[in-house]
Amino acid sequence: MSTVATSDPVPSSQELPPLTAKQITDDITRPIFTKPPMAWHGAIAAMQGLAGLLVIAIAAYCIEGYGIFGVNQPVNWGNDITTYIFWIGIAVAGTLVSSVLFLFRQTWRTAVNRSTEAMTVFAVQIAGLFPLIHTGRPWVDFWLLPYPNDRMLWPNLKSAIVWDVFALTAYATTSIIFWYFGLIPDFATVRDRATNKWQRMVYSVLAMGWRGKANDWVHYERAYSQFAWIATPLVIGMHSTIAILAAVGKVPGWHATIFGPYFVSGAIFGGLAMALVFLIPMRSMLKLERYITIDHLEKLAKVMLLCGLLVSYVYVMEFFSAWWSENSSERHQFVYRALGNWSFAFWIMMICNIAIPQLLWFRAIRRNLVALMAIGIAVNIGMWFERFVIISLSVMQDHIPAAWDYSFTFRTFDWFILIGSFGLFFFFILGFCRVVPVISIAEIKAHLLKPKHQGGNHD
Amino acid sequence: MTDSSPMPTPSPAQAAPRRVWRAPEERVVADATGAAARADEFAPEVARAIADLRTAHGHSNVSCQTEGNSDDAINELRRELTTSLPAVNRRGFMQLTGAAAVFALAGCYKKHPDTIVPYAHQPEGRTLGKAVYFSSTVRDAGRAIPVMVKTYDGRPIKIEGNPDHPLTRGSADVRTQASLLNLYDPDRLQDGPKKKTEQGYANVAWSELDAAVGAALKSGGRIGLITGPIDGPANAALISAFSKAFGGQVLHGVHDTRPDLAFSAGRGALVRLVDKAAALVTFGGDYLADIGLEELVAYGDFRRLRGVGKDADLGQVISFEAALSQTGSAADLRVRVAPDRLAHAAWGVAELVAKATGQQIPAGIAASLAKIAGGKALGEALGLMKIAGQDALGFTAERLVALKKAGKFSLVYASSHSTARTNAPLLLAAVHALNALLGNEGVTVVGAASDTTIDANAVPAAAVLAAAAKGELGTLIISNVNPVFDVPGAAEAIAKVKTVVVLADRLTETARVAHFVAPTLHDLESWGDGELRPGVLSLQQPCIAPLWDARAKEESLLAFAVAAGVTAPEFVQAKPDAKEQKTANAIASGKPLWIAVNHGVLSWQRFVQRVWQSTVKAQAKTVADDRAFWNSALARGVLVVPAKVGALSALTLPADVALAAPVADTELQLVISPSRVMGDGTWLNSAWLQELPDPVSKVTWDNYLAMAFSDIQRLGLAPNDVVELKLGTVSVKLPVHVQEGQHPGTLQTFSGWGRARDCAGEIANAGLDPNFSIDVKPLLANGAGGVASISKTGATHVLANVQGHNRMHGRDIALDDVLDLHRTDAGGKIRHAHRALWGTGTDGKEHGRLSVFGKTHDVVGHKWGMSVDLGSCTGCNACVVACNAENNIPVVGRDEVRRGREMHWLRIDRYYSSAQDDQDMLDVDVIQQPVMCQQCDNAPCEEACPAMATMHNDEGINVMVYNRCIGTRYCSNNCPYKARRFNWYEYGKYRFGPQGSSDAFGRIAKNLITGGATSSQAELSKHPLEMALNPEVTVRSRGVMEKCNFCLQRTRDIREREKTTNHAIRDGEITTACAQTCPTKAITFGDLNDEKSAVNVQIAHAHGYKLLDSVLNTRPAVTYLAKIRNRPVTAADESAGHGDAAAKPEGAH
Repeated sequence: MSTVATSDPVPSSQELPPLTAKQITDDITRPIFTKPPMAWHGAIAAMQGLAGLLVIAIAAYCIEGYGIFGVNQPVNWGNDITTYIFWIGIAVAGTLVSSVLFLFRQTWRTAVNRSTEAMTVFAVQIAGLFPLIHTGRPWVDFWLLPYPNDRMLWPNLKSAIVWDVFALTAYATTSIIFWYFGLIPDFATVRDRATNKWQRMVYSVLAMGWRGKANDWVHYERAYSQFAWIATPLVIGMHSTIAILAAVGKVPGWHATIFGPYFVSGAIFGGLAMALVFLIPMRSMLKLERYITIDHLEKLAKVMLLCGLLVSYVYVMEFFSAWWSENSSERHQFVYRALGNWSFAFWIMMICNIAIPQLLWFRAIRRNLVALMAIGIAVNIGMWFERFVIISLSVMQDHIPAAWDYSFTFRTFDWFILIGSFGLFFFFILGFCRVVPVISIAEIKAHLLKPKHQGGNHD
Repeated sequence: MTDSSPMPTPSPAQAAPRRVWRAPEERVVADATGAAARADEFAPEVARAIADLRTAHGHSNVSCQTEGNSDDAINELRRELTTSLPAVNRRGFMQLTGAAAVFALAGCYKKHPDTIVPYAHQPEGRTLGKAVYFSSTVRDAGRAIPVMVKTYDGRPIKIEGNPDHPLTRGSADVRTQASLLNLYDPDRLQDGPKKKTEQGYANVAWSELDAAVGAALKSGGRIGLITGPIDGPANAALISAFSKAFGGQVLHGVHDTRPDLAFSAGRGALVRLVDKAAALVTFGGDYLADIGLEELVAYGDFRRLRGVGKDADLGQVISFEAALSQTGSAADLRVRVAPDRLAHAAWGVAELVAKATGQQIPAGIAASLAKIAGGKALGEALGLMKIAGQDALGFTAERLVALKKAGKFSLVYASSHSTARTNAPLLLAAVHALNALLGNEGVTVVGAASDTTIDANAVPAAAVLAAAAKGELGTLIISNVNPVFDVPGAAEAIAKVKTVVVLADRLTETARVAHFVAPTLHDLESWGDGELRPGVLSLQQPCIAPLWDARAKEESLLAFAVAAGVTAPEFVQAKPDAKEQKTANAIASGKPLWIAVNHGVLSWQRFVQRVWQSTVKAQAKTVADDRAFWNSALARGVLVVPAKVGALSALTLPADVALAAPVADTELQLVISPSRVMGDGTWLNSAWLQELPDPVSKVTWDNYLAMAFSDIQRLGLAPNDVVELKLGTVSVKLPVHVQEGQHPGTLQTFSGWGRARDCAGEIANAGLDPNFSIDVKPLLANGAGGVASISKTGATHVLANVQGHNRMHGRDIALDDVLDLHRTDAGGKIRHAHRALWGTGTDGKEHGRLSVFGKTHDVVGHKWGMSVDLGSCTGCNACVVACNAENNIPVVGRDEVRRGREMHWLRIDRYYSSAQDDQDMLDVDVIQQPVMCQQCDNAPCEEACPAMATMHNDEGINVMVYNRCIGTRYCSNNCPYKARRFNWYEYGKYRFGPQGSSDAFGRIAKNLITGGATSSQAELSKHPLEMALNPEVTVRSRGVMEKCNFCLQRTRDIREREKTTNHAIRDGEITTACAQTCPTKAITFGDLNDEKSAVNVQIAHAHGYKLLDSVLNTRPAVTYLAKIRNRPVTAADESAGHGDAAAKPEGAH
């Protein structure tokens, strides 16, 4: 690390005690066993407050009806599905880091995979909430599941929503199990160090009787690799299914074959941006600069830039195919996006997703924490607007002009669920920092304590 | 770990049952064998695990050999394992799981089911679940519309046209159908007559009211009587009997609010027969909105395309107007004229016609026309558009003269509204002169109604009000009209009368200046008759017992006369017959209702019956006995008797009359027209009507000021700005609406809105806004010439417009064609449109079906389909109201319409297009397109629904299973027609009221407190409005999607009959509510699998097309017939489809 020019404010490793197994365990489990600072209390209380807005909005929706939100005819999907796809996108990136990079033997993933997987788990739960609360009658949402019943009713397997249900439930289940599975040895470590009765109790349950013997490890490694193999196609499949949900629709602006790769690359793009947004403050707050290094963040930024370029390509191609189609509805749709009454959404998307990420071509910016964080935030904003442009703007002006409506707007409760979902996410993340080892202790030891890598670049 | 004591042996002392154990020590085992078995259950594994555990934790002093361990050691290790998993053992886990399950299930509950109780004794002729139809008559602004009333269990649920009526032929208009809500209006007077006191209104008994009014009538002085138009033999007989009873003291005034009345220009009531004309020329006014239902039906015949190929023909409509009217939007040629120049244009045409036919127009007029023209062509001087390179006046005159020469007739129409009032009499005179010059009089314009049914002594209501103002009247009875609202200054005149009695169904503006108010019955609660045209009689019978303590207005007149001491047999019935008494008692038993026979008054029912059994029966020249005649008249509801049609009185024009010079182009001229939806404002409390879009602007719930785009820009205004409109000294405030087609410099607003607070009811109150006054009546009082000024107030009021966008952007949506091109190549434009994407289907046919499977959706048996003729559709909304009533469609209120959440299953889209690159959209072609669910064979919604809540039935209808709907709204996103509607709230709760407060927090708080039982909306859906619901159709709950299903209940009902009686359904036996009611018969419904069905005849037309099918391959069951415009072909028409019409689609031939 010392050989690399860095803006990282951390003292170089030479000034710090050498890494030992104990030191690593101490560093990573410290947040669990020490009292959190006031800032953390303040932050989690604030996020709880924001999450409370989500609860209020959901309660209001259950009492009053879906009409409390800004949606209408023809904009049947507004904030709900936009934010759903946003969070699913975030979720997709986490599993990409842990499973795809695992399979490609990208060992640098070890520094961040726990956190990004946690991001996946939290984001997929928040995302999963939105389809459930966007329906008119949430109390019968379970009809989306194929379950035997005496009325002989079954979901419509031709419906892309049902595909989406399968994709989402499979993905959520897999990513939660995958994450938890990776946590088991670390939970055992925490359990063994715990002195507090409650901590002992909780972590002993979570550790599921892990004993860390060789046989355990053999099974563990084998299963972990299998999970990675299962999770990888799901990463692609999950977001492709959402893409298909739009692509099979007859709405101009949805009906495009490019949507699968478009959505997947967009998801990774946005998800990595979100990872940067919380990893940068987290590593300094938990003093993990030696584990989550600037090199790791730079690598994330590189992957992000690649995905950003893919997304930019699609943005341009969409316009081309609309023009090429000679379909007046399709052509109008893209003119409307760029010049219509919601064009600001389109231009925010273009600026945040195409222009700003180009800064990542510069190494100095890739290694500048403030810049990275700012770009991450910008890309997140851009990606939310991308989903909004695709989902809501497309239906706003479709085939029959008389049915267009300009009155769609964000109403109070739309803001509540949007802001509340962020509150809930960061509430989870803040909690995660304090109760779960944020880096895989077992794995990082394996990488950091190998003699040839000691003190150096460990990729 | 150090504790190595063995596990305690169970002893009898410890055997006290402990049902929960947390450590193995606590476990009480009854028999040692079982205990041993359980203790050793996991022994080897446990031991190994514990050893591993300890090794991993560095406790290497423990032996890892499992097999050799003693029981004690194993027990110790087991205890250690237990303590490493404290608090949660197997049993604890089960307990927690159970608790979780209980909590989860606690969230579920079952709705309390309602109970349905059948009849204990089923009444004769009634079958539960079967509707009973009654013929009757409903009046709108005095027009007696013959109807069939569908009732369930004694409550009317839908008003339909009477199919036996020769003029209306089963059609019904908007307000007639919507009057159903008026019947159940909770704002009607409910508790008997009222007397004005110092504090307000006090309830009095009917006898008290009658005595007081009787005394006033007896006390001498003239008696004023203001009624609506009187027609129908019984109505006329009553008025003449009443006049006779008071020895000529009665001054009967007719208060007529029909907008077309001015057309007669003092020549009595006219009858127009547009179906006998080949062309209709209108100068201002709004023919389609002004005329009656029977004339609208005739208009449908006039406008329907007849013949094929070179013989194809249809009536032509030429409209001269300033503001875009419903007529102008349907017209073939629309010529913009400033309001004050309409009279000039009309006389200009008359002059040309006179010249061509060798006749004369008055010299004064000719001179003033020449002066205005100033040597140029008059049309040029007036700034009129050119048609086919010719002056619009010259073109029109040429057309009319050509028709006359060909032995055909035309109809020229004008109305006094929508013109400058200074020239109004002369405009009407011009129209009469034109009709006379063209020989239309006696053919398309015929004389007054028959003499027998009109009170010959009647005077206009204005004369009665004038007499009142002079203090000449002792008593004034105002029956069921509202002159205080309609006529400025009426209140002051009425105040001078000593005793004022108002017969009204609510505390109207007029009722509020009365001394006594006698509540009246709704038309569906009372008897009566009507005469729509001379000799075409209809009978009115009650379809429900009176809901409240009120009595028929006619019965009030009878009772007043009896109380005043009149003893004529027309009024008195000393002894009721037994049956009558029995019925009276039965009705009166439940609630305090006024029963005529109990007061010695002849009941109005008996009065009507007597007139019909004597006078009418004689006219009908029937040999049936009284009873049979009466019963058959009631059953059919209509009766045609020979009637003498009065001749048109001669037209006289003073020779020296001159037209006023037009005002400067820079002036703003105001036109006040009757609301196209609300009419005269009587029905303002009807939520159905409030939410009905204006046929032209598509604005709901509000009055507005229509302006041209250029004027709005010039004055620095924006749409929805509230402006102060000043005419003379009077000003009102109105929100601005940009109206395409509006002549620059013209302002248009509508009367009928803005009833005073609490005078019409709660729904009408919702239209009152503190920011502005939507009542424009004060302007009418001003008498100024119409030159107005406007200024910005700074306030804004967002108009609730149901249509988002007004132009088609070159898409093939609502197609039209020009007659001449249609004659040479009937489907040219359609073919062009269809070729846009697919030429040939997978079945090899031109525009054939497309399917990757090569399969088609063939339905065996019935396959329902519909055709909609855009040519004869006038956008009148009758179909929309019919659909509302038939399908229990909720009203959502102004706020929700603003949010784009209107629930109408059937909407009428209106598009503007303009031939030139005309940014201001002044000379626009307008087309109205009713859009309902298209029942696609390849329905995009069906593949979208995850729950299979929407699917095809075996008759080709795309059905909605409300119970199965989750409400993902994916189907609606995927519907290219946007024909689906979503229940954003529990609209059913407040179905007939506005959405009200937009304060969601307040509502939710209230809901939480009251358990959801009431909300501000629910309060607006008061009892008994729910009685108007159609029990055949589910009331949808919140959160489900709904849409048109071709009135599934109707097809099902008839199909059940087909099954049980084994009779095949005849074509026309089933029809949807919209097709049934359409006055111009633009909608045809039927079985597509029946080759001879009327709908197949329509669909076969070459100008038929399916909406968006050429783009999306949805295969709809609805076929639209393109609008054929009867106007000269322009260059733009040639290029729009016909230019390359000769080129056939590739692969087709």
